[in-house]
Amino acid sequence: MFKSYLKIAWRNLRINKWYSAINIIGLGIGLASFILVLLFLNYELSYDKWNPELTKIYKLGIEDKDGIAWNGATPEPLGRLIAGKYSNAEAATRMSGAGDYEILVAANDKKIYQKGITEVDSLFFKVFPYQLSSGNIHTALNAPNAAVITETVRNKLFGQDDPIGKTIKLYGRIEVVVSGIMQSPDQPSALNMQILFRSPYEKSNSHWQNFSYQTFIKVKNAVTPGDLETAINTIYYNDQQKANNLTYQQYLQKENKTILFSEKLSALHNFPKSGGSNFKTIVVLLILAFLLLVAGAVNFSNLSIATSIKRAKEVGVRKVLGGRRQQLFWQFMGEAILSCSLSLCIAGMLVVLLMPWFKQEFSIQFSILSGGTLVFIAQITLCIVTVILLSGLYPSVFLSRFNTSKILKGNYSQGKSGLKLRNLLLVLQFALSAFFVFSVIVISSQVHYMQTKDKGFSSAQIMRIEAQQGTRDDGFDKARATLLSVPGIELVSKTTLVPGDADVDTILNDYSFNGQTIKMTTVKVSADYFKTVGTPVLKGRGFNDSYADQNTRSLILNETAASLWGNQKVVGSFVGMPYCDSVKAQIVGITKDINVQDMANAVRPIAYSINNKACGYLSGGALLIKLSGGDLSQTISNIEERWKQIEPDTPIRYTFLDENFQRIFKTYFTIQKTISFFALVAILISAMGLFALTAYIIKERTKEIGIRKVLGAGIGDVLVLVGKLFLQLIIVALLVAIPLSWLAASKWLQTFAYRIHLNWMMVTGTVFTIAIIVLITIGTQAVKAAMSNPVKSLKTE
Amino acid sequence: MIKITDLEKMYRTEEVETIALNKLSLEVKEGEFVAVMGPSGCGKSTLLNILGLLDDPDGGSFVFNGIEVAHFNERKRADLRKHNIGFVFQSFNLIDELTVFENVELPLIYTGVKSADRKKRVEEVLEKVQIMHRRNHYPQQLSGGQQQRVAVARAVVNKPKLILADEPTGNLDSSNGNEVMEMLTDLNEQGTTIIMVTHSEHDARYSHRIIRMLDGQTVTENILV
Repeated sequence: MFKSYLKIAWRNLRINKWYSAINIIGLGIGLASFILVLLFLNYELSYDKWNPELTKIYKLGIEDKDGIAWNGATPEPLGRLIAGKYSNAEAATRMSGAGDYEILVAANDKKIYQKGITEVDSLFFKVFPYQLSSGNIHTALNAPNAAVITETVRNKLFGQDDPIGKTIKLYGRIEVVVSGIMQSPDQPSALNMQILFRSPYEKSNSHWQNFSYQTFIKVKNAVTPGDLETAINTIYYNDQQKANNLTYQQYLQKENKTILFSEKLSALHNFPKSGGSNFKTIVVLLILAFLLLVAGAVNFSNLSIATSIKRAKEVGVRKVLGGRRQQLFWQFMGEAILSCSLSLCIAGMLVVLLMPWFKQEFSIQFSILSGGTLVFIAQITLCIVTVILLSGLYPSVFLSRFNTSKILKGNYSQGKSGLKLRNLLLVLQFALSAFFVFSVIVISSQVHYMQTKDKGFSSAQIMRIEAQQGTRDDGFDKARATLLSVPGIELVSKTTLVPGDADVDTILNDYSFNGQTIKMTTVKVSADYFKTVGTPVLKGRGFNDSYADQNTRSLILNETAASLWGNQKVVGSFVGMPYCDSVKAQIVGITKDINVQDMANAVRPIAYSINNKACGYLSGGALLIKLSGGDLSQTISNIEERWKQIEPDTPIRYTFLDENFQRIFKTYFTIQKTISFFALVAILISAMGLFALTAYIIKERTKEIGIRKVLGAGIGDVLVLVGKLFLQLIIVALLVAIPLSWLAASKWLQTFAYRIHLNWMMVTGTVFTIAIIVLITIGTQAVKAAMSNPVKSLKTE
Repeated sequence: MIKITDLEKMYRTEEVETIALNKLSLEVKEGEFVAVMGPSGCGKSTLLNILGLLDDPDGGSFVFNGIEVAHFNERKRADLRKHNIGFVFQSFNLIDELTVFENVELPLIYTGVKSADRKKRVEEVLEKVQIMHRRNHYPQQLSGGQQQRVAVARAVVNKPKLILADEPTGNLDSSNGNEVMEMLTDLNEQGTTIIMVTHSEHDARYSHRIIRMLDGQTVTENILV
């Protein structure tokens, strides 16, 4: 019996080669898209799941009336306080990591730039369940200058030599001794740890005003977030915040309060309380990919129903010969299963082919099984069963229900009762296509807008050179003079806020003006900065070499900052810098706003000043060099040569602002490409479905078309005859899709501070695109039918 | 073998109610060859569908081999049908996607006959209808007469007690038609009961008894033998 089903299923596939291919390939592409996004999601969800102990680890943070403070950092002693007084705490540790910032690491004569350099305390391994492949985990971090490195760093610095006991130099100045080799977990982690070290400045860093550390605690027994937060807050309040004899409960009623919060380590990557994550994007992509999958499955359902008239006779005969409805049901399900299995094979091949591209686009490193083998198999099984049900269930029920006696009398009218569903499915497909087309138009317009919008400065021919803090502060004048002697260099300047950098300082400082507090971001620059980036001074003047300018007695504001003054006179007025300096500074000019990042964030109010010593010390930043035209590669090699005089110990590292901006936009390019790909797939699937459906309808009506032609109908008439069957459906699809797409698009656009406005041209574009696709799909076949010789079609009876 | 009493069948559409069978009674004995004749729309095919357990009556009694089957559900009807009844249609109703051999094999698959037995029985019956040389062809590759011979082979492969033939020669020329009628007569002589709906007086003469119908009722019966 089974063999017989398989045989007829296979023959049906072969007889309807084209339709089958359409079904299977369409579904295969849909499946492949879905699997890729699913793999991505699995990968993201696998963050910090590499050891069961990780579920007991929480990160602590501080929140005040302005929100989460210090970018999620906490005072240095917080962990010790909690660990000492909270009975459920097993251990606590604090760390200060450089994250993705590359730090100079030297050992012997090897120098590398390395990410994941993290200052830790001796309790690190009491909290985090890392394993050492060499060294003793209980004592590895005991020495005040100890360091633990990963296998990767060991290979880079020492090759296969034993690194234990050897000295490495971090930041060009901190010397630490390797005491252990740490195994990197085989699954991803939100914390990139490559070198753990203990700082020689540990003692002087340990005070409650030092908010440079992330604090993690490990609990003994599982606890609810609420209980944990109450417990740690009570301890923190009694120890640090208590004033006026208020109890903790009374303190909680106050408007202005500072409280602790906790985050599970395993949720840090996807659901961080401060900062963003990819998670939402991936979920949206997964939903869209699922819709594609449905569209592909629907094609199968749809075409099966369309061909049902042809299959009706078979059903009838089989029933007469003793086939039960159930048997027939499984026969048709078998066909769906066969097709879906073939689609799965195609999807598998596509996934393997597309994976490298996908990984590169989304900058991730995952393999098919990064979410766990069993989970993946279960997901794929669930997915394929859903697809089989979606594609096979309705046609199977529909076909196996045909009334035998009517069919055998040649009455196939039941085949038409599936028409409503068929139409509904077609509407769904085209609504999905229209949604994607609209999305592509909106996303492309926004990306284009972001790229072409006046950023307030010119990034052309500007080189960004990484420099040590010393070179940027005391050593700047010498470095500048050295670089300016290179032919081809126009200007040399520095800034602590580099346009195009991925991470920018977003801290707002308090400035006072006429008794009111004004919050602005402080940026330290050199006098030539505005000239270097080509930003015009709108009012007042730019910086010069005067004593006041060079010593933080003069400020220049950007437009956004100036707008905080309202109608009051800005240029010439004096601003206080509380917590920092007793002397007021004068505002000497206003410059145009500079968009240092993508357009998602609004320009912050900025107060520029010179001299990093006097007030509001800022680390970070880089040197910027404006190059004139000419032989760029010659200029660059000259710069490289000259750099050896400036920082003999650190190899030069440079980028160009243009490229950095492109890198910032990469996320949007990726989304643009992904949605465009989805749109293409959606259009292909719906067009294929429509194509097959049209072919069937024309085949069914060949005789009618022949008769009409004999009676004088032209090609246009035939086109209208076939076209009007679908026109209504396409209009309905557009009516459904456009308001929904409009809504989704405006929601997405709201995440940008600077955005385009949705307009009717975009709707027109969508309608036009869909119309063209429909016209081509239906048109080619209608024309073919209309051109064929009617004598031939009338003979087919 | 068949005894129907006061059988009723109505077809309803939104506007009209058509009475296809109006309290029809009929008895067919085992081994008989009965022809049913009458103008279009008189209820012949409806009768045949009910006799073949493809359709259920709205009223009356239908006793098949001593069992009342008028109220059987689809599953029970299918079981009874596949073991006892063979069909021959005017339009052959062969499955286009299956070869001659596979078409004839199908009833045996549904009745659960083992593969080796099936092969033997199909080949036997294909020999009998002289179509063995075409066993691997598809229906479209055969002439009308050949297709009807395959259909007859398929109807008898399960050795049914009853064969229902709905205008079996309607789509055939006279020589092919006669060939099919000879085959049915042979089967009848070997003991199979045959009920045949036909418009052709010539074909009807092969039977033992002609039942003439009008407006859902039998009007006359001519005994020929």
